[in-house]
Amino acid sequence: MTTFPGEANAAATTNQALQPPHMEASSSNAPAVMARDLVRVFGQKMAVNHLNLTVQRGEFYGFLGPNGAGKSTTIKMMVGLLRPTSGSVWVGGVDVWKDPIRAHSLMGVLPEVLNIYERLSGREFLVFAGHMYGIPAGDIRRRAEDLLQVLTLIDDADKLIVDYSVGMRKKIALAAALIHRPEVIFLDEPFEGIDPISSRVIRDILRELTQRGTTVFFSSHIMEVVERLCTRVGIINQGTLVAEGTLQELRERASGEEKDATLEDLFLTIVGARSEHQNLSWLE
Amino acid sequence: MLVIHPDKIRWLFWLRWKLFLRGFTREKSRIISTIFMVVFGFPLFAGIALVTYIAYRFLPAPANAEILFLVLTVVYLLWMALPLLEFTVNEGLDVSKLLLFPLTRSELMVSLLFSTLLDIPMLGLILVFVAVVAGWASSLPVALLTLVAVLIFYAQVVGISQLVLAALMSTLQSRRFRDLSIILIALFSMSCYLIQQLLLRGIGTGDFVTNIERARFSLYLQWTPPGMTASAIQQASLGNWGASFAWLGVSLVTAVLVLYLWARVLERSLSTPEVGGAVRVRQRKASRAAAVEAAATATRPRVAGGSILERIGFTQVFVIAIKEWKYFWRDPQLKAMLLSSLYIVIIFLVGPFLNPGDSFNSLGFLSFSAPLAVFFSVFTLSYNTLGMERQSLTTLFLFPVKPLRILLGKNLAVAVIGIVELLILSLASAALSHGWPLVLPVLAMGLAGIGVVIGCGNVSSVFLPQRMRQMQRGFQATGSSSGNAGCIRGLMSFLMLGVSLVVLSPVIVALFFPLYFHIRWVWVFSIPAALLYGIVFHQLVTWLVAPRMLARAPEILEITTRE
Repeated sequence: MTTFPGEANAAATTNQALQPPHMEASSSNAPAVMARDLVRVFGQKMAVNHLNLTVQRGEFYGFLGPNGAGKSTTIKMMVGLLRPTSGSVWVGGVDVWKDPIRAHSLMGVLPEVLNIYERLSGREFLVFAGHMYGIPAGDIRRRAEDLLQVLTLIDDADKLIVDYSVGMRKKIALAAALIHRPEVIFLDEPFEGIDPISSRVIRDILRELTQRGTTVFFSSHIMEVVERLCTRVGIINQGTLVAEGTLQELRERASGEEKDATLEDLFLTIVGARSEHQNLSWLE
Repeated sequence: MLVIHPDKIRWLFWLRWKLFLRGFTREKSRIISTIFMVVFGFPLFAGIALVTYIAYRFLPAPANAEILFLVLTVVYLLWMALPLLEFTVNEGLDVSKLLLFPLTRSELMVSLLFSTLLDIPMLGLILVFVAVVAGWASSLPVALLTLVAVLIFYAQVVGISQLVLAALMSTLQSRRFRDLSIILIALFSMSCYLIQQLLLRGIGTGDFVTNIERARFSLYLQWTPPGMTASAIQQASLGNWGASFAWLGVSLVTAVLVLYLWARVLERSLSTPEVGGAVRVRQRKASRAAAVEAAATATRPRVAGGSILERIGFTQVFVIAIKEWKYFWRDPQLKAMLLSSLYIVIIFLVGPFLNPGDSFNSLGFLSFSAPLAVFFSVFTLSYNTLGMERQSLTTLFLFPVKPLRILLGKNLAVAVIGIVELLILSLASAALSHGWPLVLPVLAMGLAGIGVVIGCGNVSSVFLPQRMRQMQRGFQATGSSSGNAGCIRGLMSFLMLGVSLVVLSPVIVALFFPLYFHIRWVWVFSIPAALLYGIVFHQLVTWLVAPRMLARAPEILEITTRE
C-alpha cells in the first residue's frame, strides 16, 4: 500500500483498524515491526509526529529522509534506546517497552554511532555478544568464526576494536547484531564509511537473510543501495511519514512526473527539495 | 629562506586568538578549569618566582647560581614534556590543519612561536623569567645581558618543545601513546603526596642551604642549553664579560640550531605520507556466494537448552565480570582508576612509615585501616558503575540480559578486586603491627564493607548515574574525566559515600567496639553477623534496584552517553 501526504491519516486509521490493539507474544502472523502513533518531543521540537508504520516479515524496508527528519530518533525508539513521548512499538509481536528483554532477543541493531566495546578484540566482542544473547557456549565460537570469516575480519580478529578502521568497526558491530540470528535487524546508515568490497558482502548477507525470513529495517542516504535492495520504502520528513510503499507504487502514484523516475528523484519530489541555481560567477 | 608575509602572520595569530576564545565559549568547563588554573596556578608560579628571586638576591654565591641552573633546567625539561601531554588540546599548535594553505616554513614557525603566548602556562613562565631578570639585575649592563639571555632562552624553550612535538608527531597520534599518557598522568597525580613528603624532608631540614652552597650542579649543567644561559648570566654578574658573551653566543647558536631543526623536522613530517590505520583487504579464496551461504546457515539452527549454569544465568554474570576485568586492564582511563584505588591501599601501608611517631599507628588503628582503605577503593570503582561503561552502555542495554545479571557481573568484578586488596592490606597490616588476632574481624569488616559499598553503588549507579567522559590525552582533557556536572557530581558522590558509611556503621560498631572495650569474645557472634549483614544488604538492594534499571534505561543512557 502506498501512502502520500494527505492520505497518511486515512492509512493510519485503516492500519489501526486491521491490527488488534494488543499483540500476542511473537505470533507468526504478527508483523515484524509495528509502530503506532509514535511521538517524540525534544523541548519545543516535535522530532517524530504520530508515526505509524508496519513492516511485514521478510521485508527489506528502507527508511529514508533528509538530515534531521527523525530517522535515527525513530529507530532508537523502536529498539528501546529512546523513550517515546507517546505511542507504542512492537517487534515480532512483542511490545518493546513492556517486555524489552524479549524484544531485544528478537532484534539485532547496528546503530549509526557505534558504541561498541573498543577494548575488546573483535573475536572477544563476538563471543561476549553471543553470551549476552544466550547462545549456548558450544555454538558461539563457531558462529563467531563464521562471521569473522565472511566479513573479512578473521585476520584482525585478535586486534582490539579501538585499532580498527571505521569500516571494520561497522562490520564487527554487524556481526554482533547477526550472531543470534535475529528476526528483525535494524541498521542505521550501515554503508557509511565501508569500502565497496565489504559493502557488497554486507548487502549479499542482508539479502540472503531476508530470503530466509529475516526482516531488515534500515536507513540510508545512499539511494542507489536502497533502490537495489529494498522491497518497500518509507520516507520521513520533519518527523512525519510522508510516503510509503514499493518503488513501483511510489512511481505510479508520482503525480505527473516521469514513470521512470529514480528513487532520488521521487525522494526529492516528496520531501519538497528544490534545486536552486547558485550564482558563482567568480568561478568562471 | 625567510619568506614571511606580515598579512598571513596577522591572520594566523587571529586564528589562534579565535580558537583560544572559542575554547571558552564552546566548553563552559574550560572556563572553570582556566579559572582554577589562574586562581591556583598563578599564585603558585608567582610564589616560585618570588622564592627564586629571593634566592638569587640573598643567597651567597655560588648557591644563587646553582639555584639559577636548577630552575632553568627544570623549566627546559618541563616545556619539553608538557606539550607532549597537551598536544591534542592546543589547536593552535596543530600544524596539520594548516597544511592546505600556501604557507612558508618561516610563516608557520613564526605563527607557532606567537601561538605559545596564548598558552596560559606561558604566563607563569614569564613570571619566572621576570624573577630571573630582577634577581640578577645588580647593575644595568648585567640586567640588559640577563634580559637578552632570557629572551634567547625563551626561544630555545619554545623551539625545543616544538621540535619534540614535530619529531614525535606520529607517536603522539598513536593510540598506544595516548593510552600511556593517561596512565602516566594518573600516576603522577597520585604520587604528589609521596613527592611532597620527600620534598619536605629535603627542603625542611636545616642543612638545605648548606647543601645548596656545596652543590655543584653547574659543573654538569653548564653544557646543556639552559646551563649555557645560566652561565652567561653568572659570568656577567661576576664581571667576566668575555666568558659571559661567549656563553651567550653559544646559547644563541643553540637557539638558532633548535629552531632550524624544528623547521626541518616539521617540513619532513608534513610531507611524509601517512601510514597505518588503513583497512587491510585480503582476497578470500572461497567464493562470495559460498561465504554468504555459510553466514546465513551457520547461524541456524538455534540449539535449545544449554548447560545448567547458562540456564540460571551464571554464565552471563561471569562473562560480564570477565569483560569488566579486561576493561580495567586495557582501558587506560579505567586502569588509572584502578591504580588510584590501589594507591589508596599503598598509602595506608606506607603512611605509618612516613610518620612513625604518629599515635594513629597503634595496633588497632593500623589493622582496621585496611577495610577503610578498601572501602574507599571499592567506592571509587562502584559508585558510578553504569557511567563507567561510557558510550558502550548503549550496546550493553541492547542485549537481552536481565538487569540483575548485569549488576551482579559488574559487582563481582569489583568485589574480587576489593577482596584481593583487602587480603593484601590486612595481612600486611597484621605482619607490620603483629596484629594477627585482628585479622578475622578486619576481614569480616572489609567483606561486609565491600557488600555494603557495592550495594550502595548499585543504587547510585541506577538513580544518580553520572557521565564519564572519554579521556583523550593531556592534562586539560583529564581535568573532568570522571564527570561533567562539576559541583553537583562531587556533591552526589560525597552523599553516597556518607550513606555507605552510615549503612556500614552497625558493622563498624559490632567489630570495633569489642576491641575498644576489651570484650573480644563478642566477635564470635558479631563476625558472622557482620558478614551476613553485608551479603544480605547487597542482595536485597540489588534485587530491588535491578528492575528500576530496566525501566530507567533510556534516562540512564541519556545522562551517561550524552555527547
